[in-house]
Formats: sequence, structure tokens, C-alpha cells
Amino acid sequence: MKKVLIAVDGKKNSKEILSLFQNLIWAPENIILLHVEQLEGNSMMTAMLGEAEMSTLKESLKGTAHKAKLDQNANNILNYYKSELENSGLKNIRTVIREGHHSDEILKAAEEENVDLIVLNCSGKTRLQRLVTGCASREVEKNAKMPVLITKGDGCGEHAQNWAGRESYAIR
Amino acid sequence: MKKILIAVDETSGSKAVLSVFNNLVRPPEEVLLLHVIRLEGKSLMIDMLSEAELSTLKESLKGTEYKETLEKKAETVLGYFKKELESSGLISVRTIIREGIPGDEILKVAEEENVDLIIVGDNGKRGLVRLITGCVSKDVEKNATVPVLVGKSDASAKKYDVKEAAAAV
Repeated sequence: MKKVLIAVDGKKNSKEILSLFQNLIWAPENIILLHVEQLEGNSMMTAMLGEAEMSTLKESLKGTAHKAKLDQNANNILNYYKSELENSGLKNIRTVIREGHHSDEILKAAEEENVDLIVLNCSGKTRLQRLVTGCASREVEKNAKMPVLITKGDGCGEHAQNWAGRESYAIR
Repeated sequence: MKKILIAVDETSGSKAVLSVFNNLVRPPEEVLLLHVIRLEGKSLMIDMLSEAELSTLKESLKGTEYKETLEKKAETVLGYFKKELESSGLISVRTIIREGIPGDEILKVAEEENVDLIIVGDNGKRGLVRLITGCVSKDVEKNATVPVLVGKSDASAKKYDVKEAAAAV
């Protein structure tokens, strides 16, 4: 396998990804670590914005403390994953930060980079949360042209119901 | 110990699991090949049945010609995929036939057999068809406790087809 896109967020999931490449999936030649900055909180607000509005939003956030914090957060996350993956012997890791709507940006990046596989974590959202905030893993799974692997980090699957209390953003 | 569950049906989207399996996945020790027989056609009807009703349905279908056709189809499907997998050098392929709701049965088997990965195809359902007939990959993705790999075929990239939607109704 040549190229894999791994979409990461603040939740700790590196163990699962590592065991994936060690046990189940061939280790890829190139890894792209992607983090999408969500400019608009957790609502689906961004999904409703048009291209023009989105770019206005991006513009207006430039240079603000909020954006600086998002950037720093993104760098922390990507550095964490990069070092974890590198420590276990995976090579050619590139990090990418994008901003905007989660699933859209993942799909766009995957298409631009022409990857062979997308790896992302299950959002672990309950039904209601999914309804309100949308679900990137589902959107990506539905619309991607390449295979999608959905990992199950802490609090996913059947245990999703208990997830809300454990919303642990480990890396901040 | 690596065990992989591959769920297949007769749609062309299922063939995507083969390419995914050959290209991406490390050779596992055992492959479980699962086909779920849908007793109730393609509608969502079956999702609304309770356990008791479903078992009555199973009971009443036993021995009928309809059931025999379904079983024959299941064996053809599994036979095809088994041959394909074995031709790529894999020895330990076990086939399983289940009856009921595909999403549920896939999850149940995954749990019972304690698999490490589930591979499903993407049937390319979009929009209305997806809404009416449900989508196995979505159900599995949502509720599984192990990683889920969704294969993609060329068919899944095709545009949403109104005619197909009408046919499904």
C-alpha cells in the first residue's frame, strides 16, 4: 500500500492506529496526518455555510486569539501522533492542517493527495449528538471514493451511550 | 491471533471487499465469510419486526421454495467469494450463513467470534434508496466495537439514480 490519510482529532487514538498497522493493515509507504480545525464549535453551522461565507469566516478569524489557540491545538495533536507513529517505526509522515467542515476537508484532502485508504476514528456520538452535530465518520464513509477504515477509540460502538461523560480531550 | 470477518452479498459493491482485502490487509489467520439471508426482501420492514415475529417468520418460511432459493443464492455467493479468496493463497476460510437483519447479524457474528476487523462492501446506495432500504455499512460502522473497513467499488462512485430509487419503492 502506498499512501494513507489518517484524520486525527483531540481524542487519543494512537494506540488503536498503531496496532492497526502492526497487525491488520500493511504499513504504508507514505502517511498523511490530517487535522481539520473546526472554526465554528461543535454545531453543524459550518455545514450550512457556503464557500463564500466560509472564506469570510476564515478571513475574519485570521490573527485572532481563537485562531491562534486552534492552531496551537492542531500542532499539538499532529506532533503527538507524528512522534507516536515515528517511534513505532513508521516513516514518511507528513502533517496537514486544514480548516473548515470536518468531513468535507477530509474528503478533499484525500482526493487531492490521491490516497489509497482513509483512516479515521468513529466519532463516538450518541444518536442525538449525531443528529445535532453531524458525524464526520459517516459522511466520509458515505462519500469517499477510496476504502475507509473506521477505528473504534475509547467510548465507541455499543458503549457510545455512556460516552458523553467521558468526552476527554486528552491533548490540549 | 487475527480473525477477520468479511460480510458479502450478491451486489457488485461486495466485490470491493476483495480488492481491499488483497491490497490493504495483512494475511490473517482466519477469515470468516458471512452472508446474511434477508427474509423480507429489500425493504426496511424487517427492521420493524421484533425477535418473536422474526422467529415466526423464519419458522413459516422453513421448507418453502422461496427459502430454498434464498439458501441456494447464499451458497452461490459464498462459494464465489471463497474461491476468490482461496485463489489468492488463503487457506482458512470459513463460511457462515445467517438469517435476519444484515446489520444486526454481522455485529452478532463479530461479537461471538471475537473478530479483529470487519470488512464490508459499499452497495452504492444513495439518497432515497439509502433511506428506504437502509444501509448495512452504516449500521455496522455505527455499532461495531472493532475497526470497520468499508470497501469501495466503481459502482459506489456512480451518481445517484432516480430510476433505481423508484424501483426500490
